[in-house]
Amino acid sequence: MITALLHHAVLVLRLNFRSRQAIVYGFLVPLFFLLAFGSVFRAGEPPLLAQMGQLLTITILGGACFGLPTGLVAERERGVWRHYRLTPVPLSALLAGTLVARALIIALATAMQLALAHAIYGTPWPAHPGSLAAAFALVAGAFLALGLVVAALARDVPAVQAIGQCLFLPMIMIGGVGVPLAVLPEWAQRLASFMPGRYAVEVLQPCFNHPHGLRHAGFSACMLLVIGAAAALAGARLFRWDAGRRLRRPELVWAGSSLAAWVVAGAIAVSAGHVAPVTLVGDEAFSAIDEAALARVAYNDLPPDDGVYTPLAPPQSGRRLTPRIQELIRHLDTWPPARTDDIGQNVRNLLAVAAIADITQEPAEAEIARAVFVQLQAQVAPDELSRALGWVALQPEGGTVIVAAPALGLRGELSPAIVRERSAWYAKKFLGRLLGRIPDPPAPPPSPSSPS
Amino acid sequence: MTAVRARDLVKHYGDTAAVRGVSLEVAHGEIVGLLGPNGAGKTSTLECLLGLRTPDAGSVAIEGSDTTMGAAGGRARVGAVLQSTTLQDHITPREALRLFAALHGQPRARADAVLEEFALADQARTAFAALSGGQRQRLALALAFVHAPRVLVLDEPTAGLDPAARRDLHDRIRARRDAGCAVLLSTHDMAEAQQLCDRLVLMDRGRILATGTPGEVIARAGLTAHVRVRARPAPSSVELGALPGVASCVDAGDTRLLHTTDPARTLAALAAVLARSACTIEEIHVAPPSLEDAFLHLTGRRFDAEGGAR
Repeated sequence: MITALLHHAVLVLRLNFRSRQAIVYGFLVPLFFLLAFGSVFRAGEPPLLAQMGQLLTITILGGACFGLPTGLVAERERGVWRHYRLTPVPLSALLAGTLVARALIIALATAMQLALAHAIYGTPWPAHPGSLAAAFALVAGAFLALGLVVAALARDVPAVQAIGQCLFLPMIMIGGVGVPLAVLPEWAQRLASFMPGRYAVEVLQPCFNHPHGLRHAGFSACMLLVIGAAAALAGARLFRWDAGRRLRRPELVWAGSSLAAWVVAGAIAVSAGHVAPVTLVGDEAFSAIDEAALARVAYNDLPPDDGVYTPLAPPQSGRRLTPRIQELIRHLDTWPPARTDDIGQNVRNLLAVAAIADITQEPAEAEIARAVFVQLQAQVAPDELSRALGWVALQPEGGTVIVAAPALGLRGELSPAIVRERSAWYAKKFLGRLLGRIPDPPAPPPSPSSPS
Repeated sequence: MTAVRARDLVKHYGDTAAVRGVSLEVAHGEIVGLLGPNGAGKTSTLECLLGLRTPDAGSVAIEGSDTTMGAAGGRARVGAVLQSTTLQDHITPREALRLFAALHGQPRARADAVLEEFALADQARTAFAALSGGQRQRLALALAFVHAPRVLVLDEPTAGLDPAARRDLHDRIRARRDAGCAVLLSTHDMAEAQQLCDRLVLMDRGRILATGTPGEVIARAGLTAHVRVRARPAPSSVELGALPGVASCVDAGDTRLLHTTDPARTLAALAAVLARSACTIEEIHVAPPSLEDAFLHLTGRRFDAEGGAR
């Protein structure tokens, strides 16, 4: 039986790569989405990293809810599965072979997207590749199960397209898959909790840029598991090898149970408070930080300025800096990641420079941090700077984080979690000084070795 | 041992009875044809035998075993060609044969041998979509035979083929029969049934009308031969209807169609009448009774070339 499964899986793979239509839908459409996302989100730092969860969800959704049922229904209509029925091998083994092949095809398409995003836009590799593999298996499994339900419900190939679009479009538009949840109104965000696409994005995205990877998305993973299990059960019960046999009314209960799992997941999410509005990143997010929020920032747990962690030089330390450090400080003013249209993210990126210098124990780490503070004050208006620093201090996980700044001579791929943590500490140190909560010694008269 | 035995098969689709109490047997080394117009219940009967449909009543046994065709053991002993089945557009004959060989637990070498045997080696790497109708049917037969079954069930295996491809397929089916296989095939082609089948099961509207060799089926209907006469001036229908052995005479313009139970005596008398009336004979054609006549006689309806009955 295993031999039959593998033999069939290999055949499905071969036939897939001979079909022009399958290549277009399986690989060119994901490439199109990558370029479309790239054209919209290329200014992110790092580019596209915060959208990889959405991008991969679209690819998996397309391969599983269109690719799988289109192939299955076309073969059913041609009588191929009737022919298989005449062999001694159980159809479940052949169906498993089809699912394995389809999962590999989708995996190949997602790998292609990762590689091209890296090559074209410089998107970093996922921070947690192991987590990503597990998340992919979970999302692909759930969506392939939904694809089986679509195949069972569809009478013919055009019906697959119709049913597939009924699943695809809502998830793309208001399910947090295509249009980011953060720009959707609250009612749509709430509605998205009743669709598996949201959970898929929430399971995949942390594998790219969250310090805890998949562990950060335990709830979403559970919801996806519930939805996938219900679909798998319904898909297996409703599987039809004979195009002439229509679904009987009682059997539609199984399809209904698959959909009911969406409602159950949404109801659990709502009742458990897992649908709190998603905050915007960048400009919109930091501008939401008000006086009351700033008043919540605590400064009593900060490391000392002359300590090992997050050191900060006095305004004029008088220390002589090496030409490399002087060059780095000069370049802060023109460093592209600090000059995007997103002020909040610019502040976050500059703070990351101080954090990286601290973590990598640059010889002049304290002076670099001071230079960053000076640059921030020169570049951002005081009110906006306070709110942006408050945003980083209060929401260390917000926005995106850079983990290296090779253009400034700061190399070494660091853990995003540590960079975020140190960035938040520096944000507090700078904010405290801006708001007069932390005393800053007055600057002595300028000297030739001044970092600023 | 009987290869296939069906007893009192019944199959309904909703309120429509497709198969109504069909019983039949096929022995090894014979070709049995299920003959009937479209909608006679041939395909439903075969699908019940193959386990593709569950009969509402009745039983099926393969090679004396109690297992039904729905069981894997039964499937392993039977090779089948299904009506209007196609494979994936991009699959090649070699891939299809190797897949089905693997599904039947046969080695890859067996698939390659069947590819040669069915003269498909030249098309081994051709996509299914690019195969001709004859090549597709040969492939279908090759797939049915890839596990060397002792029972073949073929649903209209020559439908849509040109005469040369049809003859080729007939030869291959006869070769299986001669090698000891039991072959049960369905057809709505009277000529094919008469040429190819050792025994016939004549079906209409889900029931069996007659069984036996083609000759036996015709004889059972008590049918007459046809004598068609065209002459100028046309002889009198009344006079021809009174000739020895003539059961009836149909007047069709200048042509007279005689049904006779004794063609020899009728022809002798007809020659005398024509000579006496000094008319010019343009055509005399004598045809023995056909299966079409038997069908017409048994059902009161004519069997057309497309397999319909009216």
